[in-house]
Amino acid sequence: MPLTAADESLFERWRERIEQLIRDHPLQIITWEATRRCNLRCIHCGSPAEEVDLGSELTEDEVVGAFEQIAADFDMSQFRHVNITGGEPFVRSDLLDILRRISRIPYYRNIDIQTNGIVLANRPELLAKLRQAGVTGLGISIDGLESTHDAFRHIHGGFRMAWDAARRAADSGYVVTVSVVAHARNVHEIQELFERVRDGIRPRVFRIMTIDPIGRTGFDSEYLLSADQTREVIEFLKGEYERSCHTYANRATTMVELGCGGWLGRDLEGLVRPFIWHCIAGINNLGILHDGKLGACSNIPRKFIEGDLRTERIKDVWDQQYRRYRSSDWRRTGPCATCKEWPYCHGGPMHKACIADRCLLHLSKLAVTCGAHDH
Amino acid sequence: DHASFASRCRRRMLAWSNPVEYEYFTTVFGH
Repeated sequence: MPLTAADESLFERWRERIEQLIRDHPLQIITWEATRRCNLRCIHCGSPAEEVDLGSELTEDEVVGAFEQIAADFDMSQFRHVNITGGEPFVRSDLLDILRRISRIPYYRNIDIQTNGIVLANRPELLAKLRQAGVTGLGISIDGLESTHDAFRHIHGGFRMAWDAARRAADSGYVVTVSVVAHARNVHEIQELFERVRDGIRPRVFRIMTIDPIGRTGFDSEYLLSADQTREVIEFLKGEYERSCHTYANRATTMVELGCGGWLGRDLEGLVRPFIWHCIAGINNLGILHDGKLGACSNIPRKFIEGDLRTERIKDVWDQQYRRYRSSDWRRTGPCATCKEWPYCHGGPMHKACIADRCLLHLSKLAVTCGAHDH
Repeated sequence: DHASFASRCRRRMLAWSNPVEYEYFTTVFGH
């Protein structure tokens, strides 16, 4: 369905609000990389343990102190939620103690944890304890049907554990996201996987991330998606979204979404996920990395670290640094230089900022297919 | 009409006051 003049006008007004959000950069989300340690060694990991000094992890008191400092120093009137990532957060033996302490601070009322589900599957009693410690959402990775998932994550029985953890979490009332990394060896399974997850787990969100050449995934990886495969993923999402979005006001239904892979162009944005996408790293999302360095999401290269909470006040770093996140002109090179979509995407996700062929729209050649934009 | 419904949802998304808001679900997707 081509864009109407009214749609174009709405996109312009949306762009103005994004630019205002970037100027204001209100703190709304804290992403805490709890650890880089992990109980798996997945092929696609964007934040692998071997890249960092694992001995420099923040202590329990340092983590809680950081959350207390933020609550004291920042304008928290727009704050929404805490997102905990890894590594695998549940390998921290003090995770529950930390959660109990930070959830006592009034602003940190909504906390979600991204996990591979192994610890939760083996210790299901944790679900009740996590609820008492303030956790409201769980994101669990399932990267294909059983044999595909287990091969991708190098663990026999991994699929079954992730499935059990997600199902128990959904049955316990958590806001559950099942996250799938789409790659060359599972793209043909996505429709079946979605139907099984929707009917068997009933999560709130079925999220697909396209695999990126970051972390352990090299540029020559056999897992990278071809243009046709990228298009196949987007066509699946577009079809399923169109079929099911009329049910999304009901929080018991499962929504589909494309994760932070990038901007898809005005023709498709808002038709493949229940929101208009823009990277929010360093804009309303502050990242505390495992060693106290300050950045945003844990898969963003560490060259984009903006400060260190062990030596600086977090608010000072947020106010005075993060220029590379908020002013994106330095990324306007290559195909971005002449792209008509630039005013809306500003170069796409920060985790792909160093990748020349980072644009999902360009990679999938959707621009050629729809003929609407020069790229 | 599913395609038309999705397009109208998109217009409500684009009109939402906070551009990264994703009340939201009821207002954007509600019948």
